[in-house]
Amino acid sequence: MTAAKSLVDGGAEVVLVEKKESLGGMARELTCKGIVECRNCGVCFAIDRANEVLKEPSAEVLLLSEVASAEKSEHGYSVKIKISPRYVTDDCIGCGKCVAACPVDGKAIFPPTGSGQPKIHWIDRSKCLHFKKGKCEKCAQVCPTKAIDYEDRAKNITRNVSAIVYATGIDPVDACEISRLGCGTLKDVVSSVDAERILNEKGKLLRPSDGKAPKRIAVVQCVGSRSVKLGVEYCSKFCCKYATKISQMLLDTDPEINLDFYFMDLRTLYEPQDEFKLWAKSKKTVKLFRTMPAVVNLGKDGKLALRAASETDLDITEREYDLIILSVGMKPAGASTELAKSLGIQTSEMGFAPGSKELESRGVFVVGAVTEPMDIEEAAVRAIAAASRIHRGASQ
Amino acid sequence: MKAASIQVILCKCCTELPAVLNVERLRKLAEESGNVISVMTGDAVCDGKGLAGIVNSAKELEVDRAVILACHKKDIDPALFKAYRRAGINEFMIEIVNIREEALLPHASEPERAQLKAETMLAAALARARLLAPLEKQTEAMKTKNVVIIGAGASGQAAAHAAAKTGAHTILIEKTGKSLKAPGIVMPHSQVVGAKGYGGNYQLTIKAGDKIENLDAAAVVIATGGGWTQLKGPLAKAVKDAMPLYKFHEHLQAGSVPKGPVVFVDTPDPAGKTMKVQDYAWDDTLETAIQLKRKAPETHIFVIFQEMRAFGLSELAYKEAADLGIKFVRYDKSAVPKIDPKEPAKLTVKDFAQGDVLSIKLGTLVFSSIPANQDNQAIADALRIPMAVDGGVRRGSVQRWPVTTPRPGIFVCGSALFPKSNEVAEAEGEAAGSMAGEFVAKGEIEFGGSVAQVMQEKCSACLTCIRTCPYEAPFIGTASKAEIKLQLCQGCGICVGICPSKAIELHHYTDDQIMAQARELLGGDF
Repeated sequence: MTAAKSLVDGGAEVVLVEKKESLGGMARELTCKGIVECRNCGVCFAIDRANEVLKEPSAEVLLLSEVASAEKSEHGYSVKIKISPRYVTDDCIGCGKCVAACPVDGKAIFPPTGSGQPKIHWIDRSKCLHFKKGKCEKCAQVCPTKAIDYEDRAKNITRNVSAIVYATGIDPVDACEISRLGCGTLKDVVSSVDAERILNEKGKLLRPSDGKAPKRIAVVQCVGSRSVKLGVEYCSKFCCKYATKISQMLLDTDPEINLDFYFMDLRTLYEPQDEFKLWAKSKKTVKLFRTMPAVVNLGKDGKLALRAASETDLDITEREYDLIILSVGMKPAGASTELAKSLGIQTSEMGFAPGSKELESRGVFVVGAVTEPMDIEEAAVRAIAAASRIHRGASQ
Repeated sequence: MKAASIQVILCKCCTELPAVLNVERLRKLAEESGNVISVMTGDAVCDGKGLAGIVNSAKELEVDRAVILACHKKDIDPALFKAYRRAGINEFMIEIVNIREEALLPHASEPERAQLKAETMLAAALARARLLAPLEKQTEAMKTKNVVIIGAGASGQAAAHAAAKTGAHTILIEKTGKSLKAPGIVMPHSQVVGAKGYGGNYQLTIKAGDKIENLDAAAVVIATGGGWTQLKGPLAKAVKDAMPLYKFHEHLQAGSVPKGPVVFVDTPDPAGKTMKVQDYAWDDTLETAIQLKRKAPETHIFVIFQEMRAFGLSELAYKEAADLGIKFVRYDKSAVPKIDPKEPAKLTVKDFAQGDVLSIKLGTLVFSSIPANQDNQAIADALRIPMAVDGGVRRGSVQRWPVTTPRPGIFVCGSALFPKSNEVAEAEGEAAGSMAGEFVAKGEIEFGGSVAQVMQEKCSACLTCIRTCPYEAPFIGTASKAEIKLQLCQGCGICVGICPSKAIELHHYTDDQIMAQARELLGGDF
């Protein structure tokens, strides 16, 4: 999106193809961490860019769409794009009446995920009774703007472009792949992605088991990063940054919270490293432990018992918590699709698609976290740089 | 003065459709309020729908201001403001009430409270709208297309190339005499020692050799890179032939392999108090250590560090290095590595994890050479931008754009922010250069609007505002009273609050406007 915005600013016409129903990528489900002051987490940056791109007349935004193929043509590429039907038109104003009216268990019509833009709903054909049984039209009946269109069909379109920006981003690692920390079996062990989603939607983080406000929280770093077992041997780079900011945000919401932060190395990208340590020192209720917890079990009174060795010797201590947040790492998404192969994008051992000068000379620019681990800010920097190179190529 | 005539727009998608609010009551409240000429329902002002109808009616009824009940201001289509402008209504005469996010959503399940909040917010907005005054923004042409880039390292050169392609004139200022190919003018042996002006029209003072020169610049890119090419502190006294990492790497590339054990230390000054622990470009250190081990497998290699910050894929190099038999020793600030000057071939360090004191035979000592540049402070002082706690230049809020600083028209990239690898530094340089170029390409700067103004008859020239303003906008003018340089004022209002004589007013947020709004919101008479 940043690349799209930079290109449009420089006078180019852009076609933005997004697989999901809204723009914003991972940032849609993340929360602003600045309750008292801006903590520079960059989440709003992504959402603001989405808004800007949607309002750009020279950017064509295609949602629920995928590039079927890209063939080399005389001046670049001829790109075939498949747009899946949304069954809701642009007239949707995001009021949500349709969702309330939908009789399907688990719903068949959805608002965009989290803070995703635009706020147009969409229907999942495989769940919708109208398509399954051919009779329900409840959403269309309540829609105040007549935005439901059951006749919507998949479309195939072709666009001729001079350059392709490949920015398929990342997927979070599933915290439950590491079963010893209780994810999946213990309700009050949540992944950082879940925690952010809850904070983004509700504004506060409650215990999933009983809905009470947690008083003792543990944050565990490097869950699914730097892990030979999961094949994620690299450092995901952004987890320390967001986890320290979530911790600070939780203390902002409730200064009484006791927060223990478990980490291996503190790698807060783009932030002076001492800043978090000094902050932790200044708070009586925050403790840092440089160790990887061994196991989480169910303790007394529904509390969680976390066992960890101490930093300098092998003494094992068990501490009790109300809530445990596992900071999950990331895996590249869409690095080895058929499209990537047809464009000549090669993947590394760890599944990333680094991009290359040779690719760029052919008009294929790989940017964002699909190239290597990075956070929102660095992804934006790389995108602006790529946009600048595309402009230079075009002006030569 | 002509009495205010207000048009109230109830945006349909925010007020009516979720069926939480009683829109008729809102409409009635608006209609019965003073100065309200017309109450209309808008279709969806955020999408720019039905603007023509709204604006035509505003023209016909000759209203001069509007109150719009909708969503967040930034969600509203800029076309609305343009349309109103065509109807002769200034953008500062439009009051937007975020009814969706502040009344509807938080109280979606409690309609009565949502209604109460919406009505109170409407009343407050009307009270404020009655007192609004039109404001015009001003423009000033940029005198030059110069983009001055400070530092000709990896990020600086990338910035020069990117900026030059946008049509800007680039001037590369380099402290050393190194020769390089870059577009535009290159000034070796030069440093920026002072700066005046504001984004779009800066006047820099440059020390070039022994001469002092003045230089106009529309935008500045700080690309000073990292610093420190010598050991500091106690280690420097004991070891004479230590090498910075980049130099060691060059030697290695040229085929020379050192004799005896090699120790990599993470900073030129482990005992230093002033320099905080930094981000180090660990990928460079690890890569060099691995190269050495591959070339000379029998060499003993130690890496001693406070914090292993092998970001991202560097982690793989960390693992590879450990697998190859390179030894990693973590030390703590409380027990830094030491070398007795009498025994320069022995380095002692306490392994923090094990608690053991190790004695390492020393052949070559290599130190990471890119902690923060010691020139940063002087440049930040000259350009008047803040520093981060660790000696890097502080970047602006990510909310705006990366590689910006709090001052418009000044960009920062590469290791000037914090030490990083060449690849990232180049990407940042490209980004900063192209953004500086685009900034210059606008050709003019816009200022004014919601800015502060001194009521000179009340000013006692106490200098409080001058000392407080983070943007250095106030100054003492020819009348010996404070004045505000409009191009510098960001409209933050700090001077307004702190002025002991209450002599400063912030346009668009005057005391009257704020108090009228507060009275309605709090229901008090104060």
